[in-house]
Amino acid sequence: MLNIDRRFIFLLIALAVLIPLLKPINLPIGISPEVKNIYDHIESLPEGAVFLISMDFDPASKPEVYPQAISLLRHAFQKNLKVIGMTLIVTGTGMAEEVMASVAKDMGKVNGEDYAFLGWRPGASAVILSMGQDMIGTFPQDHYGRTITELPVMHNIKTLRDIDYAISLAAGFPGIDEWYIYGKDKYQFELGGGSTAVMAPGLYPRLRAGQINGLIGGLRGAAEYEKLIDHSGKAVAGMDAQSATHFVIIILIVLCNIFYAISRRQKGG
Amino acid sequence: MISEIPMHMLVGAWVATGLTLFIYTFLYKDNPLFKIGEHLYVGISVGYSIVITIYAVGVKLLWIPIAQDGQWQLIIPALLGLMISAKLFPKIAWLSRISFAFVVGFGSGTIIPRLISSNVLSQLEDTIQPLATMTISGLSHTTNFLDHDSDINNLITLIGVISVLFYFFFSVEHRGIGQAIARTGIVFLMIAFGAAFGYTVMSRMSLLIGRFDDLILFSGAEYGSPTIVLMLLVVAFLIYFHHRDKEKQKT
Amino acid sequence: MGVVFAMQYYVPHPASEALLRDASNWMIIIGGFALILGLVSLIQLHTNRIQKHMAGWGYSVILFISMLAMIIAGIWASGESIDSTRTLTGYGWAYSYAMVPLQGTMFSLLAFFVASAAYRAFRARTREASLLLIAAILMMWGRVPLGEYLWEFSGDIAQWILNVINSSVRRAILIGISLGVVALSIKIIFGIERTYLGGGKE
Repeated sequence: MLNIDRRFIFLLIALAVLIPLLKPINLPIGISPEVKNIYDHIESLPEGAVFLISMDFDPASKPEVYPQAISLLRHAFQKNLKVIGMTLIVTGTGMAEEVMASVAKDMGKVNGEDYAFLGWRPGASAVILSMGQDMIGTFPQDHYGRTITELPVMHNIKTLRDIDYAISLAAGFPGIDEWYIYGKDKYQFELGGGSTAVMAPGLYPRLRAGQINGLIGGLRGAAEYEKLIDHSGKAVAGMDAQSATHFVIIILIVLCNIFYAISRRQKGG
Repeated sequence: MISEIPMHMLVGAWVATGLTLFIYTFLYKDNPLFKIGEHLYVGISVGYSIVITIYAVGVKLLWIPIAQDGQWQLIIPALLGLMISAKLFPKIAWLSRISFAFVVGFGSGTIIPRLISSNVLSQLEDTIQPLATMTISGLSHTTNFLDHDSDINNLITLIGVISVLFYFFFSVEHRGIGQAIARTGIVFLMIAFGAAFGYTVMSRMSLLIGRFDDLILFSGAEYGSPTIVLMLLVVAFLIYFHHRDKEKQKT
Repeated sequence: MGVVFAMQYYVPHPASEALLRDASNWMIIIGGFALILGLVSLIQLHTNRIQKHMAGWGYSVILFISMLAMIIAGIWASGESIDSTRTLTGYGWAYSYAMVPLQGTMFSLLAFFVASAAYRAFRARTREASLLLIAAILMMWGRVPLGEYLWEFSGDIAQWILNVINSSVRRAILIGISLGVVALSIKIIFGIERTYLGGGKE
């Protein structure tokens, strides 16, 4: 039993994902304090406050982090914040552009007046440092080639010190760590984070030390945020499948250990 | 019903579904469909990155500032950037060292004070928290495990940080009291790695849920049911491939 | 360079800030050229495969065709995924319907392998392994709605493990790694460590 064909396990996992997606149960989702902190902070921002969202993830992390971006942008637009979007990951540029454009269109926001998408620049930490010193020099034009200084939304925004709240949605390097080390540490803006579930445990020291004021971890975090803004999307829809797959894995691990104990006893006895 | 979906979305649904299924055939075994998907992935990603870089750096950070705004000093970083490519030519490879020295020097210099400030001092500051409080009625020690800032949790955090740091300090032999501290570190490490494994499972399953979500969306009749049609074709191909392999092994 | 930019952190003078601004801007530009090395390496590898008709050389042709097609589509669309009329360009279409599904699916394969590996290899052979196993199960149980529904306290346990135990361990690892990076950076700045320059003795 310990050496069953792994394709049988693949089939189990596929069914554990497929069935709940086709027949959802919609179990209640508890809200964790680290996600609530981000929500509360955005709620506390006055209209017209500057919100920077750095979508530092690539297509591989889309299922986990894209729903976070949608919820955060919806919330920011609901609060009539000035939203500035950008990315430090070249292959994430298209998704970052798509999410900003689609949510803005949904919320009736105008590019250049209510939000700006700056695009991508290489260099990771150098980009953050450069933005901290001179944002206009780092992004003289937005992603669409328009001069930054001519966009109403960018008026009076010269450096990272002019940002009221920044969130990095990260899937690896560069990400939240770099935004803190090269950004918040010197330029003193408030910083929050959203990340894949793989990265989330590693960010708890920063969360506990107050270096980031909140953390949206993985699909679960995205689902919690969707619940908070009362706009259920793909994250909430995916939680039943998440539950099913986790329990399949738990059962597999328990079974594996039972069979292992039995085989050890048979060999020893 | 199909005509309600724009043509580019319709074609896109078929292409996306096909490519997704090509990659999933790897779960059966390595095969030409997977290899096609794999090479397409590399080619398209590289092509995409090249275009974005040309416009983000070449046009917006070099061409426009130099040609239109007269910032001729930007020719220097452009030259430094080009010099990196000198590494490909053995006779002038030494030129690339100048660029690397600039990049690594800048990186090393900027990181030292920032890492010390954010990763060492700030983290140590948060570790050294009160373990008890003096009140009117005397010394009190909060023991609510659910309050992560309680004194008991501060104590556990302190023990955890010290014991794990000690565990990784291999310059001193872990004997006697040292061994006890190192073993405590191991206990903390195992629990943390277990948590990391749990979150890794969560992350990987989320990626799968995302892809299946798209496959379910594209199984709809409004898209022409590409998921079902292409899955049947892919399965047929895998059966043919399996038999062909068997024949090859026989001969 | 290293000493200058390490000291720059402590000097708030406008000249020092301007130096950081210009240097970081230059780094961004240089970073853009770094792609050339990787690109040439990739082209050399696959051209070699095609020229020598090595096994699977046809796939290398597919790679080059797709790369060229993407570059042509991108330049045609001036690097934009969505044009001024909010319509998806060919470049944007290829990104959304080819690149995103391919990359997403490639990484989602890991879900299957993690499950298979968990069944085959995750055994409580020692006390430490048992601890790891129990913590993993508690985390997987407590971070999903079904787990919290079946056992309400599991969510609190998972949160405690994350915020106290995991946080302390990660903090220790973070401090250790950071001190190591600082030491390495100092060695690089003073020329003791020169492997980043490439092979050969100076």
